[in-house]
Amino acid sequence: MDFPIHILLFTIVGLAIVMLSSFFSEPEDGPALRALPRRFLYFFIGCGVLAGLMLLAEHTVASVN
Amino acid sequence: MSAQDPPQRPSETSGEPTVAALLSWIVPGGGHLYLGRPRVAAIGFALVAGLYFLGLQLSGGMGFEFLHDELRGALAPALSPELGFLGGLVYQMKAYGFGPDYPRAFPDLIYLGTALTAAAGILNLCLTAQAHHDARRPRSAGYSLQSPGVVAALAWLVPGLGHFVQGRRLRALLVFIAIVGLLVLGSQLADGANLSRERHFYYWGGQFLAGLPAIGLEFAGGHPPITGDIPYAEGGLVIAAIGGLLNILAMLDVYAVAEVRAGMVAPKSRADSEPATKKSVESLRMQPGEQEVSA
Repeated sequence: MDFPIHILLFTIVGLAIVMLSSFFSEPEDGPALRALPRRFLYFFIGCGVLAGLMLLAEHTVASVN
Repeated sequence: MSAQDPPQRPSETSGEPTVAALLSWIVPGGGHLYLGRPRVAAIGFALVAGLYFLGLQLSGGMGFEFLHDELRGALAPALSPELGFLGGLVYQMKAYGFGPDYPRAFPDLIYLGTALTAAAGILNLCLTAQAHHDARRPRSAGYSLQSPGVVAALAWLVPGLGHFVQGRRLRALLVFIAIVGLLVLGSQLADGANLSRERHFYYWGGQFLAGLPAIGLEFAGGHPPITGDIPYAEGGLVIAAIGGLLNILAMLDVYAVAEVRAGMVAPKSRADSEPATKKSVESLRMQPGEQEVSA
């Protein structure tokens, strides 16, 4: 039950982060909003890769077992 | 002038921007006094120093006693919003520090007092930014709600308000929903436990960057008695702090546009460092009817 909630919360926070960073990067609303899907995709992929690397490290070099 | 030409900088300046900013950071209004703007200096000093020392009175100077023993280092208070008023922070550390070695009861109004000292720090950062801006323009130039320091302060007070004042209504609405939404969501998940500076000294500093909504939520229900496990306490804490920290981007956004409108910097797309289109340049110019008042 926790996992879907965590994904939902991550999506909400990620959307806010991507939107604000898009607004900061682009002073006009139109280009900033049009860039949102691409930026959101990059953000999700980047976080996914990072999570994968952390899991890999946890099960290999950083394992406490 | 084509859309890609940089705007003409004012030929007359008032002083050295770095000196003005440093003076303001140390003593509120110091930069404006250096720039020959005594009225602004007096108002800035009265507002920022007044808030800070009222806050110290209400809190008994015990704000940094919220820090746990293991966190009490020389630089520990420097990660708080009070850093925005360096003179006040140094005075507080010299006069009160971390208090005596034994625990003691906090004054009734300590939460209000520490909120005031933190607010003074944020407002002084905006005053410092304005001093840096004023140093690059003639002494006779006036102020309006569109002035960079003013609009940044408004953006801090209510997320999106700075954009609203600049006429960027859609962005104002989206910024408000995103930041206040995260703050409310985080506070709901953490049952309000995230809003106590006593419990979460540094996270509180992040949330405080969301301005009045964060202050309002704290005084509406930010110090609940904890009687059981809160499943999403840490998640809520992080989410609310992210909301506050994102307001820094919003403040920088309105500040940058205010500088462009004042003709201080060339408008450009910050994402790719390419000059903006003619349409975007025109959209950033000051709107008809917007006027400045002299200092």
